[in-house]
Formats: sequence, structure tokens, C-alpha cells
Amino acid sequence: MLRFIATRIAGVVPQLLLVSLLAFGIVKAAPGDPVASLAGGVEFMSAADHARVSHNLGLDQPLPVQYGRWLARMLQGDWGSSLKDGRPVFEVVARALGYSLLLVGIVWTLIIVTGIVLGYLAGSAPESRRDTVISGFAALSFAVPPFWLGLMLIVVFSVGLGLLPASGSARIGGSGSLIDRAAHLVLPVATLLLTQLGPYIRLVRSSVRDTLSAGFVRAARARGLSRRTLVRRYILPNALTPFITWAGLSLPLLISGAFVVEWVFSWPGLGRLFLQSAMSREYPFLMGCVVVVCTLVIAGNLLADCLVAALNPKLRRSHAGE
Amino acid sequence: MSISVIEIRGLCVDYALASGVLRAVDDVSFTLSRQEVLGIAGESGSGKSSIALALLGLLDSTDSRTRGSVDFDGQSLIGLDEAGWRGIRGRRIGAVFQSPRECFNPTMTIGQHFEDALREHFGLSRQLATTRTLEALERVRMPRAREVIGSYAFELSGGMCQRAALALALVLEPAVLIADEPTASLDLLAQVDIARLLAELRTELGLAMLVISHDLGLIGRLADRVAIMHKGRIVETGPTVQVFREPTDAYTRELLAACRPASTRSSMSGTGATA
Amino acid sequence: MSEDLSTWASREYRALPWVALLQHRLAFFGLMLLLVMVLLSIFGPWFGQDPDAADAATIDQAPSGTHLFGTDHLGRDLFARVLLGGRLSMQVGVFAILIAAVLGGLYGLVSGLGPRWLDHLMMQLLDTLLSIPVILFAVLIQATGEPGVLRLSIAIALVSWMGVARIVRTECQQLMRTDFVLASIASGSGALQLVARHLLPNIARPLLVVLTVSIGQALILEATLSFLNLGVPANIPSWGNLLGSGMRAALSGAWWAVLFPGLAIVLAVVAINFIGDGLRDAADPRRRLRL
Repeated sequence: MLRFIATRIAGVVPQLLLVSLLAFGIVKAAPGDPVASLAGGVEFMSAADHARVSHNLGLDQPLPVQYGRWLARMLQGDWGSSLKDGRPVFEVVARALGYSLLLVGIVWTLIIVTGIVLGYLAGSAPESRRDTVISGFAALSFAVPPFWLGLMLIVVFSVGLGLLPASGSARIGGSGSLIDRAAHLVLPVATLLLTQLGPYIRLVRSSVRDTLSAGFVRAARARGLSRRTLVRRYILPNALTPFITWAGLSLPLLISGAFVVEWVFSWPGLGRLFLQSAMSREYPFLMGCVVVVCTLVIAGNLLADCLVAALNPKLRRSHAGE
Repeated sequence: MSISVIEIRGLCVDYALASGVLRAVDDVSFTLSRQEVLGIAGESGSGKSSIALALLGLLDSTDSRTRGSVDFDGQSLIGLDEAGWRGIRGRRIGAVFQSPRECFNPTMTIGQHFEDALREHFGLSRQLATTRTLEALERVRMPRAREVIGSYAFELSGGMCQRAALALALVLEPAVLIADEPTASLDLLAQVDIARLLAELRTELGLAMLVISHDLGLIGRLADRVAIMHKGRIVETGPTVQVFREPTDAYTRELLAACRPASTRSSMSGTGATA
Repeated sequence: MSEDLSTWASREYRALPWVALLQHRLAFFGLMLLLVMVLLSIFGPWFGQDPDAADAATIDQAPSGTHLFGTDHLGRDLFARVLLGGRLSMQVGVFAILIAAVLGGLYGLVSGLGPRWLDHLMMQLLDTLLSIPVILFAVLIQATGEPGVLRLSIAIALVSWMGVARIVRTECQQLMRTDFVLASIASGSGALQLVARHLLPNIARPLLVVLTVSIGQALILEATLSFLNLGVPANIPSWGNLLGSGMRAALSGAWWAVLFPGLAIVLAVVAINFIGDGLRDAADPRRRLRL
């Protein structure tokens, strides 16, 4: 078990390295002369000044050296600042991350609960009307672009009925009460939940179906165990193992959806920051978002794998055998 | 009426496949008396296992149909509701299946399986359940029984898993034990072991048994009477010794001829001993 | 004789999906729906109203007999524009997935047939790429250059090839372990030649499933990127662009400006996914009918 976790963590290192290379690449790909932009333009600088500043910034060093220094600065939390207004990247990204974690956290929790419940309801009665309705919903959920559903919900509930706020995280100039904040979350959460739920339902459904036909479930039924015990101790623990892995693996999908939903609802999270930065070519922010998002995804996968390992007696016992 | 525990009349089981309807069991009738061992023999796909599933009410109603009458102790099992079945399954009719390792939940220890069964049927506490589990494991001559309680099925050999499965079926003190291919997935040594154990348990406990197998050696060793199945029908039935010595049906002769020269010569002599 | 058998088997393999597909109710429905949409997109703009004819008298009109889907902020007929937009969206989707198939196919071949260390390395890279959210990846590619149809297709292809690569790799490795390949290698035939002959029939069905579903996802991605102004140039109508330019109108009450282009996307993707499901079910031997 410890060995498994150790190998798994060792596997993360090259992944993180690759992500850092990607981020460094973004910084390097930024158009224009970073030295000149510090002074407000090439015309304000002599060639000697330019060379001196370049040297001070380490820009005359070979790329691997530059990468090493950049990495060291990143690890210390010095992520640079905006090319346009000088806002520090680390702080801005951190603040946006908070909002994103709130949104994605709520949706993820809801998805896991509803995914398990609906998937179980569909999978435990294959081909029934209940299954058809739930599977139909899952198929539709796959096909709806999140941004479009968001727009439609705004059109219906904000523009049409005037029931719920369409943008931001709180009413501007408002008291910032909990109810106001919650009201601002309703539409983004609903959009993300409805468009992301499909794959989770499908996965639980098919793994419940597989587990139901497993020998140990038949044997347990042949012992006359109650439905409650069957479901809680025999079916779910086995059917949900692939679901935990998937809950980790699906994080990129969920984040993709969240990015667009944040944009549509002007939710001040990482997604909106990222897309705004992409449109205004603010490369340092793009870099910051990439680092944070990819690290989160990798950590999520690691966590899911460790959880699966901890729940799997075969892996849990493997160190004792060796 | 009081003599036969199980009475089956005109049992038919149909499966719906993509290619059409398959009649797995075709108009099968037999009775099983108290303390009797009935063997059902036939090649794989002859419908033997469907009979076991029908007796336990485990056929999936969405893609199969069952007709005919199945009585247990004078009570009809056809059309029983889920609560009614729970009083029968395990408690009155116990079962062991092929591939014993797959019959244990991989996320639970062997002991936890006993705990669940004893709690649900007898309302036993954990401590009491452990005592009963140990007794049951010792009854099936399980080596290192205490250790086995805390083990997972993947940590045991196939033979040990089948022993544990037998103990798990017997701990609920059923009136009938269905053994569906109890030795088919085991290695040769374990096969001999389990066969001997079944024979011993049978004399010790006076249990009525339904032994379903393609292995005529096993049937010959255990069964008082035998029913030979072919393509869903019972083609011949009678006392084991008689059927094995003087088969009247062509298919039975074929089956016996196919078996005799192979691995079962020693078990065939066991038939003589039972007789 | 073995030659005859393998060609017979591969023909069987190719013929079967279509037969099964036509028997699968949802897949048949999807196929018909998609066919209608494709035909409408191709021929519709020639016969219907001019999608580019602006008319100050008909700005932001609700759906009516003359304008089925209403009109946009320049008074153009939205029905005609949705049909025209479908042309570009489907083009981009299909083109992107074709590029992805080639990319993923090559990657999978190298990984599946190459030495173990290379396979390990390439799979590690694939896993890392898969952990990057698609939108983030695609936006990064798009943000570093000017928007254009070709660039967009390539960007979508670059985030969509991983599924294909996985399947090709797995099939290659399984194939290399089969007896007839081992026997042929032992008797001196080239492994590559064998793979070429046997891989395609074996891989056709899973590949078809993945590619079909990928086209649906590509349609959604195209719409998303164009909606964000990071896709097709804003002057060319695509489903995503129509949604992007319709957003403002919709926020002031012109719901039809976003309802219809979005419905077009949903219908197309649902149709494509149904076809994908049909192809997958056709390969599932567990499929049973109900009594």
C-alpha cells in the first residue's frame, strides 16, 4: 500500500515537470520584448540600458538556466505581474481560485451524490422505464453545450421571470448577505450540474449492472440477505470503485465546463480570469491559471487513486505479502 | 407428502436471447426426499444450473420465464414475494456454486460474510456470530479457522474457498443443500477433498442434497439417485448404481462411455462402495 | 485457407455495423436526423432566404411565418443563418476529427509497436495531456494566433486525438500477442505488413465509435470557442458565432437569437451520440431482447 502510494507519487513528478514546461513556454511565447515593456517601450531605452536590464533579468542566459531560475521563483510564490497594470499574478490567481473552488466544490459534491443515486436507480432496473428516463437524461446532458444552457437559463430565469441574478458573485453595493450570495450561485451551479452529470450516471449505471451479475451478489442473494444489506455491503462498495477513479479523472472535464460557465455568469473565478487573459493576451495570468489548474487536476487524480488503493483490500494487504 | 422436501412438476425455463428464445429447461419433474442425495448430471448447457436458480428464485424476470410447479415442504415457491423468498433462501435451501472465490465479496473478509448471514437470519451479535462461524468452519475441517475468518477470498486457495462457502451455507442450518458444480473450477486434489467432505457431511448431518455436476465420478460417489439431463430434458432417472450399470438411454450410454476411460476410474469404484 | 478465413472475417466485420445500426432504433433515428440536418445545411442556403441580407425594417423580430427562427440585430433571417452556420460547424467538426484520427493513429501505432520504454514514456505523456482541461488547452492554442477556420480545426484536433491513440495502441499490442501474428513473425513475415492487413478490420468498430462521439464533442468545442470569440472569425456564421452575437439580443429579451442555434447543436450532437451508441451496442454480445 505504502509502496503503491510511493510509486504513484513518483509518477506525479514528471507530470508536474511537464506542466511547468508548458507554463514556461507560455511565458516565453509572450509577444513583444519583455525588457522594453518594463520601460514602457523600446524608444525610451538605450542599447546599453537594454543589455544591462536583460542581464539583470537573466534574459541573456541560455534557456535551461532561465527555466531553472523561473522555476525557483515560482516555487517561492513570485509569479510575476501583469504586463498591463502591474497586478501581482499570485494574489490575483489565488483570489480567483477561491471563487472557482467554491463553485466547482459545490457542483462536484452534488454530481457525486446525484450521479450515484441516479446511476444506481437506472442500473438496478435495466431497460425499465425508470432506466430509460434516466439514461435519456444522461444522453441529453452529454449533448448540451454548458455555455448555451447557461444562456438559456439566464434568458428564462433572469430576463424572463426576473427570479435569479444572472451575473457576478454578489449584488454590487449590496449587503453581501448569505442569501444574496446563494442566489448568485443557483444558475451557475444548475448549469454545470445538468451538463456534466451524464458521464457520471452512465458510469455508475454500467458498473452497477456489472456488479449485479457478479457471482458474489448471486451467492449473497442465495443466502437470503435483505435488499438493504445487499446494496450497502455488496453492490455499492464494488460498483463505486471505478466511480472514485472517474471522479478524479473527470476533473479536467468539470473544469472545462466550469471555465465557460464562469464566463457566461461573470463568476469571478479562474475560468473567467483565464478567458479574459486569453482575450487581452495577458500571458503571466494565463501561465498562473495553467499551473494552478493542472496541479489541482494532478492532485485530484492522486487522491482518487490513493482512496481506491485504501479501499481495495488486495492493495492494502500487498505490502504484508511482499 | 412429508417425505419429499422438494417436488418439481413440469418445470420449464425460457431465456430471451438476441437470436431468439432458448428453452433451457424443458418439462422437468423430480422429487427430493429427506436425507436423500439426488444427482443431476449432464454436459454444460444442458440446463442443470437453471434448475438450481429456479429453486432459489434467482432467475432474472426481465429476460427469463419460468413455468411449472416448484414445491418446498408442501409450500409452493412459484409466485413467492421477496420477503417470502428471504425465509427460504439460505435458511431452508442453502447453496454452493462453481468458482467459489467469486462467490465472496472482494471487499469483505470471509468472517464478515458469516456475520451478515447470521445477523439477518438469527439476529446474532458479532461475538455470537464469531463463535458460530468457528464451529461451522471446523465442521468443514477448515485448517487455521481463526485466521480464515479475517482473510479475504483472494488470500485463500480455491479448495479453501469452497470449504468456506460450504460452511457459510451450512451455518444457516438449511434443510436442503444445492451444490451446483461444487468441484468444477478446482484443481484435482481439491476436487477429491471437496467430494470426500461432501460425502462425510452428508452422513454426519443427514442433509438432503441436490448435486448438480457434469462430473459423473462426483455424482456416482455422492448420489442415491441420478437424473441425466440432455438439452433441457431429463432423459433417464433412477438409482445411481442401476443407471450407471445398466443405462437404458442412448445419451446416458454416450455420457458414461465418455467418462469412464478418463480421470474418474477411481471415483467409479467409489460408486460400488456407496452401493 | 487461412487467407480466405481472415478476409471473410474482415468482410463480416465491416458489413455488420451497418446492419446492426439500421436495426438499432435510436441509431436509426440519429442517422436520419443527421442526414436531414446535413442535407439542409448543404442545400438549404441555396433555396431559402439570403442569410446575409440585412434589413433595417426587420431587426430583432420574433419567429413568424416569414422568419421561422426570427431575425437578428441586423434584421437577417436566422433560419437561413442557422443552416449556413451548420455548414461551417460540421465542416470544422469533421475536418478536425480527421486530423485527430491521423495524429492519434500515428501516435498509437508508434506506441503500440515500439519498444516498451518508448510506450511507457508516450503513455505517460498522454496521461499528462489528458489531465489538462480541453478548454484551457484549446484556448491557449487559439490565443497565440489569429482566429481562422483551419487554425480552429487544428486546435480542436490537437485536443481530441488522445482517445484514438489509446485504442490504436491497445489493439496493436493485443494483435501482436495473437497466435497468427506470432506464427507469421516466426515464419519470417514482416510485422508491419501483418499489422496493416489485420489491424484495420479489428480496429474498425471501436475506432468508429470513438470518432463518431468525438465529432459531437468537436461540434460543442467549435461552438464554445467561437462563442468566446476565439474560434471562427466573427464575420463567418457558425453555430458558435451565431450564439456569440445573439447573446446581447437575448439578454434584452430576443430569446430566439440563442435558442435556435443552440438547439441545432444539441440535435446534431444527440444524433451523433445515438449513432455512436448504436455502433457500440452492435459490438456488445451481451445484448438481449426482452420477452
